[in-house]
Amino acid sequence: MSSHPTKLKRVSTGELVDAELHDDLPLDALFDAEELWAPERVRILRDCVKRAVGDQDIPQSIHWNWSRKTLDLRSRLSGPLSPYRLFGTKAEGRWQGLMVCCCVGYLSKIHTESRDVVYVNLLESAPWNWEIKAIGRTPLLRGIGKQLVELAVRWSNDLGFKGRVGLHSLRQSETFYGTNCGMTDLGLDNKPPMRYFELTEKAARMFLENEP
Amino acid sequence: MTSMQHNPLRLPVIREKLIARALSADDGCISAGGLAAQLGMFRQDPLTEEQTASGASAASGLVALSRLVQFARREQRLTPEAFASQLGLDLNELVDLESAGNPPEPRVLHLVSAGLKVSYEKLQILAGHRLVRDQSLESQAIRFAASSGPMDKLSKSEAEALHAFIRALHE
Repeated sequence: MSSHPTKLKRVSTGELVDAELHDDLPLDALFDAEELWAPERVRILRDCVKRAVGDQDIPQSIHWNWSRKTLDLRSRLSGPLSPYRLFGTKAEGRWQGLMVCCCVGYLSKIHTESRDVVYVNLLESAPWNWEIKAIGRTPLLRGIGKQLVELAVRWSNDLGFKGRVGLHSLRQSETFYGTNCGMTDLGLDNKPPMRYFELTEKAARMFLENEP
Repeated sequence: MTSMQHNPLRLPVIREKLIARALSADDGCISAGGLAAQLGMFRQDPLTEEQTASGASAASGLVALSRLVQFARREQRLTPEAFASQLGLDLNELVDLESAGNPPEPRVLHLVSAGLKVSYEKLQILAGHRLVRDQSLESQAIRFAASSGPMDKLSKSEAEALHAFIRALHE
């Protein structure tokens, strides 16, 4: 499991917090994460119900369960040749964000000729990092999302995909991927019924600040 | 459980600008997940913008559906009773269909699909049962719904519109 030092920001004070980017997690990390994330999901949902928050304002991934996802992922994460790869951000001794990517079987929807993309199967930050305006919650830490996407872009570069990354975004996250990450919105897909976003080669270079 | 042991990613030693940009991005909502849908963990919003748009097109879809049934009946010069019987529908179900009142239930759509030999899935989209964005079908449906009003016998343009729409439903 290789890790890289980085920083996150504590939203309440603006202070920088030491963190690590991990680029090859074992499945155990999903259990570790969900052990802490699940009670927070319950607290958030309880707050939302108490305040009669409408369904459209409740975080769309409130019911996700990363530990359950191991049942599906255990057959996919089958070793160094697996097309799947698990990434994460850790700070203050707990997982702040997780991402599963796949590098086989997904083609660019922008280019007419076949070009592979790294596809983000799943990405979520820890529930305490969610902003939920309806119940007045602000994120604890910031900086998780773009740094996880950066890992996907770097993996895409390593594979010779020139930074191309694709994903299906939940509705509440569309602004993040479209505006903050510079991904192209290719509209609503049928399966899954979410909007598909893709980072082009040019956008990937800009994302990485034109690194050589 | 062991690590998956892919080759470690190479990150530059200096990432300050990248980190600064990451920290300035509003990332309070970042969930993404095609896999969530595959695993049955995707919770669709009760009413998203896309669904609102689909709701608007469902209205024209219902009109297109009503005209499809009405034109098909008139092309065969059948009374509503006879046509309902031919399709296996109750008369009130056929009247409902032709008046574009309420979205027909799937059973009715299935019988229409079998009787007219058109795609059941596309009829579901027209009726608003399937929230799938099919722009080609939407524009065909709107064009068909906007074609000329009913007459006793189908005019040439109505017959052409009917057959063009039936072809679109076959595809």
